[in-house]
Amino acid sequence: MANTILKTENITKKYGDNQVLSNVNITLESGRIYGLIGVNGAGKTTLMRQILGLSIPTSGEIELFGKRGKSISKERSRLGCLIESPGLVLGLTAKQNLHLHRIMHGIADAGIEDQLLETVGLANTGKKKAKDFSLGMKQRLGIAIALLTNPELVILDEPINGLDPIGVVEIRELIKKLCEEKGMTILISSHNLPELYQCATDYIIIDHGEIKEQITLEELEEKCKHYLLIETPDTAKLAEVLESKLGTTNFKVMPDGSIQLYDFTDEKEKVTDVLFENGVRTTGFSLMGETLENYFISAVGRK
Amino acid sequence: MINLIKADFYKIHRSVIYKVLFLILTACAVTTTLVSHFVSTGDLSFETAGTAALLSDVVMMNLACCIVAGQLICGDFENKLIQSALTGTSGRFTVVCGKMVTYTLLVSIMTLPYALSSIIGFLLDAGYCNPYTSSVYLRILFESNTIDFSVAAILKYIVITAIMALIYTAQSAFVFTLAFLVKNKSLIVTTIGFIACVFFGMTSSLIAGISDTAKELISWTPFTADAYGMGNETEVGTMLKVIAIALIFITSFTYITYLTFKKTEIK
Repeated sequence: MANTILKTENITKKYGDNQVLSNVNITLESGRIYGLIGVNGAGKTTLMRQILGLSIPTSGEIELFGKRGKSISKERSRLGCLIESPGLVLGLTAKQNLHLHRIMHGIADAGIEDQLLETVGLANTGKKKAKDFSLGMKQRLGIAIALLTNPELVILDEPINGLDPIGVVEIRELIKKLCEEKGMTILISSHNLPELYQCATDYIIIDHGEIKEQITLEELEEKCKHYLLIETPDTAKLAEVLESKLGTTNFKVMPDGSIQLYDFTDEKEKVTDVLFENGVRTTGFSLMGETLENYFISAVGRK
Repeated sequence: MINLIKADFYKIHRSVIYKVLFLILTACAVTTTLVSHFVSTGDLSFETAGTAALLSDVVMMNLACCIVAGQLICGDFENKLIQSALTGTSGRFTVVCGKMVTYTLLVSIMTLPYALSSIIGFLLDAGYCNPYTSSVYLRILFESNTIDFSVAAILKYIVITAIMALIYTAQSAFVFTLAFLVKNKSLIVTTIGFIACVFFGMTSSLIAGISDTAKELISWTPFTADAYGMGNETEVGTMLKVIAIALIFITSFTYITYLTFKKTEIK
């Protein structure tokens, strides 16, 4: 059964007169991958920083692992994070950086260093110092550091920024693996919905500091499904023809009597021909459905 | 907190800047000791010694403290290690306290070249001149001319050098607070901190000269003449007073730093 890991209640953050977060309410449940999506400046990083205690909300409350108030600072040891750029000492190697963070967090198991370097694909960096790493390598090391404490909630702010296409796929697979095998909950931010679509199970859309929508992957897929919208005065006959002549039941009768047909979206002519041949009168016939980008744009009210 | 301190020392151990700073301080300590000796033998004039005063602990330790604060605190803001510490098990108070402990230990390590050169110089009993600046270490060297070697004397000098480490930490404690305020701008911390340390050092003696009340007031700060005047004749009570003043200053500035850092935004 899913447990609530994090709950924010009316989190508001102001810098002077500038309100960057406005009554943010989100709930994260264990074992899921949450995509926090918003354009640059939408408030994604600010929200993550409130959760991590790096910034104090102007008002509102955070509940972390069932704890509130001052006691949540102890619960933050159950978090791992990568906010913007990773915390690295550039004069140290990947392993030395991990060693430093391991000491800082009081983790006794030295073997975890090699294990994590292997996991993020930095096992062969040897004596190469972090200052000589590419941006992608630094991001991977940052992810390794975030995973060092075997956290229950991992917060990753734009973790695939600067990664090459292969790196993006690897990190995406790693995120999925962590969620599936270790049951970690992951909150990952991005300004790119199609990118998050590859791994997230839930989506939180934020814009101008306000949560516009929190939906599951299933709901998103439903909303972005393409279909043929057929309007007719004789809904029963249309349904019967679709079943008997086109052999499909993958349609939905809407309250206004129109039908949303989810099959044959690429064979519109075939559908119109069959309807005509069987005497089904149509008053409307169009291909409907959102792309991920359009859905996001309409969700944030930019269209 | 102990984990934070251990992590700090792991990082320091692998950093070049602290090693270079320690070597520079060692060179300065050896030079000031040699100058003291050669002035006493007549090979150098007392005027030359005045120039060498710039290499003494009075100047160099203030500079070293500011560099250490800049590197230790601003460096961690810059490479986001403070962020890592805060998102781990450590609260802000723990982070500030841990940094102050590391800072005090580092400043103590940085005073070692002066402490060791003065004690080794004392043991060599090679003859040294009157202190050409208000340095405890030069006073120890000078006292070797009149005080015979004894375990008690050496132990007392070791205690005095340890107290001086505390005094330098206390004198520069505001630099520690400044570093947490300006975050990742280590150059600002080093520059402003050093100018302010030298300014306080100079004005404290001037203020103390104005009246008995001013003198009394200064005597309750780490810039007290009691600290710079420590030697074999110094009574235990005076030493304890100096230690107490240093600890109160360090504790107060640690708390002030916490208050300023408590609600700071961490980028």
